[in-house]
Amino acid sequence: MSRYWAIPPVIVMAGVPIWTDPSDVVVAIVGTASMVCVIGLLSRRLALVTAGAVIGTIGYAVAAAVSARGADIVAAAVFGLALLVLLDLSEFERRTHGAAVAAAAVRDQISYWFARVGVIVATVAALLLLAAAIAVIVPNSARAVLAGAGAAIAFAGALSAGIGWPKS
Amino acid sequence: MTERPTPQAFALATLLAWCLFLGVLCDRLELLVAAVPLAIGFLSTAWRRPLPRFALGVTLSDDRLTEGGRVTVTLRLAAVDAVPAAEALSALPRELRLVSGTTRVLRHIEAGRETDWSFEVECPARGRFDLGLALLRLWDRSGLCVAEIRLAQSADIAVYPAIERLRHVPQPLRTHCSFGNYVSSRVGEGIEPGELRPFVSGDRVRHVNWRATARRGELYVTRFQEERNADVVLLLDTLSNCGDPPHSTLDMAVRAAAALAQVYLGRKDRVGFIEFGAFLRWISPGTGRRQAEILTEALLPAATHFSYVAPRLDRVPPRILPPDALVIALSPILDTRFTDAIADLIARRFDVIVVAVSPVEATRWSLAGSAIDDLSCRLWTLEWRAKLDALRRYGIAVAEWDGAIPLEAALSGFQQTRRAAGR
Repeated sequence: MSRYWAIPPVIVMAGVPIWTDPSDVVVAIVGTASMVCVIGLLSRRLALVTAGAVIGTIGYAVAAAVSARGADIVAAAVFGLALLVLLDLSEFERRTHGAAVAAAAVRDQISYWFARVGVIVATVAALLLLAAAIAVIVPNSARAVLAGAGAAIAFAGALSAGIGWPKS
Repeated sequence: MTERPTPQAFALATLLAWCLFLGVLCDRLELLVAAVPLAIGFLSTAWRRPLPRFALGVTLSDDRLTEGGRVTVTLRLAAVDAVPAAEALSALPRELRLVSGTTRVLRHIEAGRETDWSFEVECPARGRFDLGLALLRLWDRSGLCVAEIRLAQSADIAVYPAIERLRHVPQPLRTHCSFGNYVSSRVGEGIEPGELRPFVSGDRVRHVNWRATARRGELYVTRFQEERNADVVLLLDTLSNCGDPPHSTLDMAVRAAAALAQVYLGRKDRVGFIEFGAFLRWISPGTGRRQAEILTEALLPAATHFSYVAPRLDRVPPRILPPDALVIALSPILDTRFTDAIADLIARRFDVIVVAVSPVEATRWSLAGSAIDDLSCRLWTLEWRAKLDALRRYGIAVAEWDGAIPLEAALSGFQQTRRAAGR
């Protein structure tokens, strides 16, 4: 697997913020992010790829904040997916660099990635439907309580994951 | 076995945290939605499978080689449970060189199946090497979690020094009491005519020299010189070493010692071995093929160990260093402790010859070969030869060997000097 396979996610990561708000500031931030990502891919440094992705996220936040348009949920999901795939591809290429990789291992990995993309698309769709349903069903006064409960559950989940991480 | 999160897990967590933070800061839904794929990717480790069961085996095409030999290593990974991605690295000792194939593979193995891969390794330098150490990484498909295992199998190879065929080696001055190939100064049973003397009662009739008897008019018998063997002790200097394997002075000295041992044992001599280094290690003199095997095995681990201690040869028992033995010292003549020990042996009337392995040529192998290097090597050669001349003034027979010429040619200088000594 070539490191250039991770270039399309970089293009998507740069394209979504520019499509959201094609201002000079956003183009400058996203251009910097893409450059850092590409340097990270070429030098096989995960830290640089992560830094580029973080700068890209900041660019997307700026684009979303200054954009006059409403929230584009599909573009946001594609942006998040691009970040995930970028990390997956760059890291898989980095850790298999110099090794004799069996075709079966690559096939198995690609099938896993496709399955996960399917799960993510389904989850985003389900969440959007759930959000729409909640917006209709739950009254305005109870939404803050529901959001607080969700945050508490998320915090507890993260805590249990941290405690339950396997030790040597 | 160690299971740990990978750097990718930390990178993903960082991105997730930034998305959530910026989403809250900007109060925009897009960033929270963008965090969903990242969160699902992060949570996918929660559904990872338990660590698979597997077995790793190592097979070698040969376990006894000579320097420069090649061995094919085959690793076989048999999986009881399905292994999504197993990254295996065979840890090669740095003295060995990979010729073909790869030592690092990434394989996917179905449950109950096995996979194998091979690579060829060249062994340029002597020694014992372990090829059974493999490092295994079992990657989770998400890439966020990895289990690392260190597997040590028994797969040792022994690389023996390449032995140069020698036809002529220095003759020992003193012989032993057992039968051998050297013409002794003592007369008795043998095939080499020694002297004539008048017949006395008890002499065998077959020894009567009829030509001398006819000339002198009385019975004369021929006396023969006995063929005897000798004791040879190989004294290996491991106090100092120059150059990189397989061109280091110690490797050259070990090759010379192995070649000399083969020749002397072939002549039915008793050959012993003393390693003169940070500590004294010895093999008592013996004969035969078994002794050849013992000596070769003893030469394999010879290595330099730093020490301030000056080993003393007068503490070596006489059965290890017999007084009438020919001592062949193999040394780069760099450490004064060794030259002092040689001088001590000479003072104790041992028959000593020194094969001085040139440290300059051994070092030159690992140099770039610039004009400065060349000049330095020439100056060092002058200085080193001055040391050899100082030893010669002591009365020690010294042959210089730089590895570029055959060992036999370097030893040929001893033949004439020892013959001229009339011994």
